[in-house]
Amino acid sequence: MTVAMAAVLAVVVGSLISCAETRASEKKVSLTPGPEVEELEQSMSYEEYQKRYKEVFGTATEEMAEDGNPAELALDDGLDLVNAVAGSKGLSCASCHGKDGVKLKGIAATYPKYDPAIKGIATVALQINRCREGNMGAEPFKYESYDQLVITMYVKSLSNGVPIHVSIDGPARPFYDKGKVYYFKRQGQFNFSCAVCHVKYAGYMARTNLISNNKHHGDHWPAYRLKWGKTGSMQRRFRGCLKNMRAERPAFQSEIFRDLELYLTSIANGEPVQVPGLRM
Amino acid sequence: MSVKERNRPAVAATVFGTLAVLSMSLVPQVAQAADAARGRKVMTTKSLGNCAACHKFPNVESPGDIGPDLIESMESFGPEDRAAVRQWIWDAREFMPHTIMPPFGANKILTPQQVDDVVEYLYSLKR
Amino acid sequence: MPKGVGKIRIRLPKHIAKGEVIPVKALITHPMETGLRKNKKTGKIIPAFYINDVRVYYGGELVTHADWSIAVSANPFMTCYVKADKAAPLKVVWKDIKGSVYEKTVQIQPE
Repeated sequence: MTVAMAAVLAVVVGSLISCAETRASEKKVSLTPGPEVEELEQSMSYEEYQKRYKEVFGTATEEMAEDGNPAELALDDGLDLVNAVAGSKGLSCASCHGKDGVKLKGIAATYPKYDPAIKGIATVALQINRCREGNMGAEPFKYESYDQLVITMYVKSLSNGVPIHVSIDGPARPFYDKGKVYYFKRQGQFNFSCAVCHVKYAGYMARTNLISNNKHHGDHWPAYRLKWGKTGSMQRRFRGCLKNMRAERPAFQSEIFRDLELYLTSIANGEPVQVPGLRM
Repeated sequence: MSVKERNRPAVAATVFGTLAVLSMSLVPQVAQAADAARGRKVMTTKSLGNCAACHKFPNVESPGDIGPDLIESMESFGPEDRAAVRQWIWDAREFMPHTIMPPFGANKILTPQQVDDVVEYLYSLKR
Repeated sequence: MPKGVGKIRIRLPKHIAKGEVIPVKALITHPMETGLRKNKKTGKIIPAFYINDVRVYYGGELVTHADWSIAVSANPFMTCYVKADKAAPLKVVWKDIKGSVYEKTVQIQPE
């Protein structure tokens, strides 16, 4: 018993030490695309990956989608929030963007995009909060709260079916590069990068999990995830992955997460927006 | 020789034994022989080695297929290659710089004792 | 999910043709405690608290009846299909093992 406890303690202490090491080394990495971006080859084509997916899951996903997505029922709450007056200026989203936000149709397909006002990348979630603070004089939503998720989900769902076309050129380029470097950077105690799993080993099995191909990672958030039993954002998923990698987890809507969201969404360029998603 | 004197070594042995037990319980990675059963436990425990996530080896349910079958891998290692096998687990980047395999020893995911136990289990696969 | 117990959302298609078979999607917030889980801090068993009876009425007529048990997830979501052949209220009733009854009525209005 004591031996076991001491062993556990040793592991814990060990992981703490290496966490500290990781943090120290992270500071040294300059965020410019260069030698840090590992040359990794895609393990298999997307068609092969789909075949593999069918072998593992069969028609389970289609059957699940047929029954409907629990997150769809929250869209009405998002709609109510868009029409609701909030803040000191007596405005609602609908005051500028039309009733039910109709003028926002197709807009979310261009997000995340470069915003000169913040000299960085704005995601839909961040933009909604900036709009509330700046234009409406209202309290920003807390990230990952129910209200924040449903309004983001509703605004994005207005673009459903519109092909994603995020810009990665011009002023957005340096941020795209930062996101890409982060995606390929080895980090955490396990020395994984996002890419080593989702590019090099996409389509392989990690125990009973099929490692997913990154082609559709950017097109369906916020999504209802069965594992969570609720709706969550893409950045919550980032944090989940980083926890499994035993790596440092940036905060919601931090600069690096927004850059990463831009990079991942740009991979899905050309694919239609499908919000809310439904995932296992 | 008095009774007292004759008993002295026995007492000393008891004291030494208690100390040894104490030190073992406090610092488990010191002075233990590698043990295959313990190694297997490390390999199948999710929070420790979790080798089955990627590798196939006997008597594990639905192993992953990212890494090679460990029985096949061990065929290329003779009894004299123990250090190499240990290095694969300790930090595989030495052999494959772009490997996905976590550096279990170098990043302190496992203790040196646990790595030795795993090596012991891997060699037991050869028999 | 919205917080609290017994918050209900029902969603119907926006346009319903008369005689069409339409999906009715309903979600209720409920912890659905199995009675097998323990409170991690105190080690005490959390008492069972789940919905065990669901009925769907269309125009006063029972169209679907389901017996649920502990295997159903928290905040259960269900879909059932109804032939929309009349303009009538559709009522979904959930009952849990503590005797609470949750219900919501929506109007089906075929065009």
